[in-house]
Amino acid sequence: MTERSDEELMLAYASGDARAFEALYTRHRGPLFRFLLRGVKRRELADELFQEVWGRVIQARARYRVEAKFSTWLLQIAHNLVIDQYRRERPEDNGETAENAFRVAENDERERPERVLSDFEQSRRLQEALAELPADQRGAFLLRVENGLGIEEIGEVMGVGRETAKSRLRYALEKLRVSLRSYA
Amino acid sequence: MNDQELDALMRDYEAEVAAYKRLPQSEPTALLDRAVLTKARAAVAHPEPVRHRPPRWIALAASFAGVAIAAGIGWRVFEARQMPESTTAAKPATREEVFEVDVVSGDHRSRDKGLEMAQLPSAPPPPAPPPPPVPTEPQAFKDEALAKQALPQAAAEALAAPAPAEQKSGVPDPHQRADYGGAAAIPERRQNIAAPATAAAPAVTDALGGLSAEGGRLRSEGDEAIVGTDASSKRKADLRAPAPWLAHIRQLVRDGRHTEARTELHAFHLAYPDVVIPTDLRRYDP
Repeated sequence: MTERSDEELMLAYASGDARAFEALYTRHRGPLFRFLLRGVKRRELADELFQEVWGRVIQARARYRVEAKFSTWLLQIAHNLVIDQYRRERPEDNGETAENAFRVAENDERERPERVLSDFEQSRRLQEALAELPADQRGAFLLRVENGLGIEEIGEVMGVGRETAKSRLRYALEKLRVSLRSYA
Repeated sequence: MNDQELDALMRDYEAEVAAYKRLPQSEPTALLDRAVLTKARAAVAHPEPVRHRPPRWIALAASFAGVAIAAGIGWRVFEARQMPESTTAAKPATREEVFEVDVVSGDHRSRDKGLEMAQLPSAPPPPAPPPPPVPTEPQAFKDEALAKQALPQAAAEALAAPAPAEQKSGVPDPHQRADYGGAAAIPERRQNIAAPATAAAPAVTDALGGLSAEGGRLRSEGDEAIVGTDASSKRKADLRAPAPWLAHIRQLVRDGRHTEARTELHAFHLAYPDVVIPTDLRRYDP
């Protein structure tokens, strides 16, 4: 018996099948939670947003139409909530300042010699680097690495064109590399 | 950037991706899972009542109807405000029209009288109408009832009030206003009314049942000499006494006018239900 797709599960849930929702939830709970946790950095806030995302899914079940992948729709909701939260916390930051700073520092950091960090230290640095990323770049990175989306889907979730999505992903990766090497 | 380009990009940053993968895989707590799943199950178990919005066209139609009603009311109010001026100017003309209708068949004298009445602010109590020379239609019905109650003589008298007499009196239309201007004395009016009276005569005779058949027959046979005068009425009344009537019926049988004999016998039976039909005529009794 083939496994039902996300879309089929969602339609089944909309028809009243609570078990379909459980299957759907089991599939997406981890990646979604991590996406939120990396996005807002605070656990309690991630919990709150996590519930909010699923709550919106439950509310919108009757209006759900298979026009896009379920995961794209789910992450779109999550991304919008993260962006809203980010804007509430930093209304003056539009992300451009962080990107400019990244461009200036890029070459200097790359010229640093390779230094090997312990796994633990590397993870800690990576988390710090992720937290320092502009929200849009961090989102693009998480959508790709955590949720496995392609460029088109990333652009769809973030509401931007594919070139912008690609640019954000590239900047995010580059900044993480610089951040990790800077502590090496 | 296609998938190959994306894959190539990610390969360039393999170390960073690997470092990310080594991060602790945070999961939602069991409490969080339970909260979400409970909410999802509750939503399905107790679905919110679906709100059925009425179709938009109903709202549009209702709005249009409301506007139309409001416009109609507004127009009526406008008309009502305009009315006092226009009605004061138009009232005499209206009275004139009413007057014309009332006295259209009257002579000059009665018309003038009617005009005076029409122009009076409040009509004086109308003079008593002249007593009709012969009973009117309702009176004829009363007579019929009396005729049925009081046997032979009264029935003969009821028969003696045929259509020509009614033509003379004129049967007033119960829906027509009484003309207190002396219309009873107007010959044209009498003539005008004679036509409906002629038309009404069969109805009256029908109401009289079988008796009317005799009246109609007498008229149709040109036996006008019998009706219309007191003497002829008396003669006819005598004819309608049981014995002469039966003799007349026998004569009809002898003449071979069996259909008429049956009709006569039927009328006789209605007029004299207590009289026993003679044996020789019983076969004509319907």
